[in-house]
Amino acid sequence: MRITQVSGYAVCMAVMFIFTNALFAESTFVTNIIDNDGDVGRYCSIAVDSNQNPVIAYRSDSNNCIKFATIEDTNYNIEIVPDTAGSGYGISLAVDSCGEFGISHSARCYLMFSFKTSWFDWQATVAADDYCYGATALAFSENDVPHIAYIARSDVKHATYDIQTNSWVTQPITTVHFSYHFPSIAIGSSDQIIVAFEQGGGLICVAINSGLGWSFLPTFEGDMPSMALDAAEQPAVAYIREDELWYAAYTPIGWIHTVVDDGSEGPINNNIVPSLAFDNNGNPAIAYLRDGQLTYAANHAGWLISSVDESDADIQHVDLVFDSNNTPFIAFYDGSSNWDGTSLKLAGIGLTATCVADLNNDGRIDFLDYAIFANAWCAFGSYNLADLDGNKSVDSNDLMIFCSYWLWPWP
Amino acid sequence: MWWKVLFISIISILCLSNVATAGRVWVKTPIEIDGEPIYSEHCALAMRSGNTWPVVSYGDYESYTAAMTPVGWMPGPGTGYINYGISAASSASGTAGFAYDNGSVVMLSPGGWSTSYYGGYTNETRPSIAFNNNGTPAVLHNTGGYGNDLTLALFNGYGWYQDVLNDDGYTFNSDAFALEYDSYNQANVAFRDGGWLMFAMKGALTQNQWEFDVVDSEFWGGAVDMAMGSGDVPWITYSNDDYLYYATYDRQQQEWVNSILGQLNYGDGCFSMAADSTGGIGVAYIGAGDMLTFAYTDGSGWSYDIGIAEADSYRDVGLAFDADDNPVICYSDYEGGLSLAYDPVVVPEPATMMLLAIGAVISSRWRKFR
Repeated sequence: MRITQVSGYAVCMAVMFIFTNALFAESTFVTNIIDNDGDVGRYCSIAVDSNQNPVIAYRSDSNNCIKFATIEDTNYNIEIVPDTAGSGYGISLAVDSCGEFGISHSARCYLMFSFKTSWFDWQATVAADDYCYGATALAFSENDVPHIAYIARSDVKHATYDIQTNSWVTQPITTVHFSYHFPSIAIGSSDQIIVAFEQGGGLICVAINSGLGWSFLPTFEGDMPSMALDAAEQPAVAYIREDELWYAAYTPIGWIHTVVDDGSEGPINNNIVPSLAFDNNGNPAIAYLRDGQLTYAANHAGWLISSVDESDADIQHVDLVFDSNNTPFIAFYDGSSNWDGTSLKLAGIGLTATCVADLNNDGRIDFLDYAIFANAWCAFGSYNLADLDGNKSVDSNDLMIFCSYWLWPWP
Repeated sequence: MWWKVLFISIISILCLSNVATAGRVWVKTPIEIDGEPIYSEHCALAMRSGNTWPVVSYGDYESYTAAMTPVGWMPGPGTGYINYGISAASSASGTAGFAYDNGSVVMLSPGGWSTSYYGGYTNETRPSIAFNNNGTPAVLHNTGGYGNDLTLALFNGYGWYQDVLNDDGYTFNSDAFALEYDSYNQANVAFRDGGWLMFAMKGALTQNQWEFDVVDSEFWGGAVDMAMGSGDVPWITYSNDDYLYYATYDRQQQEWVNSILGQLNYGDGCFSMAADSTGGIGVAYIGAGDMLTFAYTDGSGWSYDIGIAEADSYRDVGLAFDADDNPVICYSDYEGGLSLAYDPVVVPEPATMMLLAIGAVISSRWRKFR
């Protein structure tokens, strides 16, 4: 009798586990082009705003500035961030508790900070002038104080706004001269500052400042770190090591390392920084590249891996975030989406798919789109929205594609 | 041996002087918008976003607002003509609010700036704004009822509900008053009625009726401020005959006690009172010699920081505490215009620590050799 009860319990658990896994496995991502106006999308950084809509800051190489996209399902509001001409490297976007947007970026050897609220538009200021040239990472404390980790020459530094002196202050995290890259930053609820970065010699370092100076957790071998805080506010790092994707969680007994993707299903792209985020239940998830394809790994009693975007893309930057409903959104840069430019794309579960033939972006394919298509007919040699197959001319092949979507999304 | 005694004396004096000033190193910065200083008679200070970011309102005849952000001081809305002064308060949810004698309220909440009209318009008395425990703004003003009656205006989500302070049919015409809420969400009011300093309370403990008490029967001054201390004990400051007084309620003796807190440089004086998160009470005022002064008590006695800055004693000061309970004062610097003074958490300087160590070593050796 007891055996029967245990067996029944085990069967129920197994069924639930399979069902749960199937549920996650069946959660398919929808990928939409957010912006393909010229060469755009590099250094994309994603967050969710106070309405839980994804917002993305990214570089426009064509305009030589930063652009900012607010996304509400299939409605995109794209703006150029003022005072970012010549800027837009190492972009990091964060949203404070008031729903105000901050962007850290590097420009002309300066660390810049741009800020936008509901009561004033973007304003930019120099946060540090000590030869910042690389990646930056931005986070707000619970009291909305910005903290930035950045690379200055060969040092990793920390910048924050000192309200008492009404100015930005910087301090070095480490002064050992190696080649440091890929900082990420998180702020604990007690204003504890945690910064992770790649240290020279193939080591990953996590530094912590609780108000009494910087201390360092044990380093470990790896490249391309992406750090976030778990539910216990302990650092966790996704990283690449020997062509495998790894996950390290800091525990009372030290770092616990696990292989997330060993590359057996396809080689891990070891030149792209993965992006780690935790959902609201404390489950880690990682967006990364496997065999050039955008891939998503989520840990729900084990790592589940799914392919996000299987298009023939040239993805170079990915960033992952969760909204309050635990919906993952991944912003990524596609360097090959059209022959005259690049694009910023957003992948998300539950997104309404936009259609390549929806030329006026109103959510349906009708005569308004056909009018645009007809106007572009036989256009040749330069980028055109109606060039649906990307062969540099609007021709019968594009018409066939357009017809295949006629009256979309209705069947 | 005389030189050893002399040396130890010098070291001791140096150590003591450093220790005495180490805890009070005020950081002063001008408030500038687009690089321009601000010169204003009136000012008030509140904090937003978890008592972290200062927000000020100022003006002589026109009112203005500005909020500190990571990209500098950013201007907010004004409300037109003001005459008598500005009141400020901060809510637990991170909203900064200001009330003006033109009947307006301006607030900076996480959603941005908003303006409202609480209903009082005289330009003759400074209103007093406070937030209750639900984050709802309330304004005490003297323009309600059928005449100049002291009135509490409470925002109910749609408009302002007016509640005239009424003592068995007797209403009060007052030109100096202050409002605060206690942990029971009761309205606590201090006000001048003729030559009396009065205290009133309304809430659950008073069966939602106004109850009154006399705090001081010799009060002919022109300004009142109040803060709620530890254990919901009200603390009141008021100016009288060039002196700044404080009054508080002694629960054990069940009576009000009052005393002189300091000397003011100017009759009615400019002062501001606030409580920190521990219930400690701070008062900022401009004392003798135009010296900006900060007084603080945890209930067991007052400590003073005199001479924080040379300030214009005919202009307002505003006091608030930040999230770390550091006092923040806005005041008018004679040269720099409207400024902020911060008292950050300070540890003894390295030089002080070194002198202390040298003093300790020499003292021990001195004792040994004796």
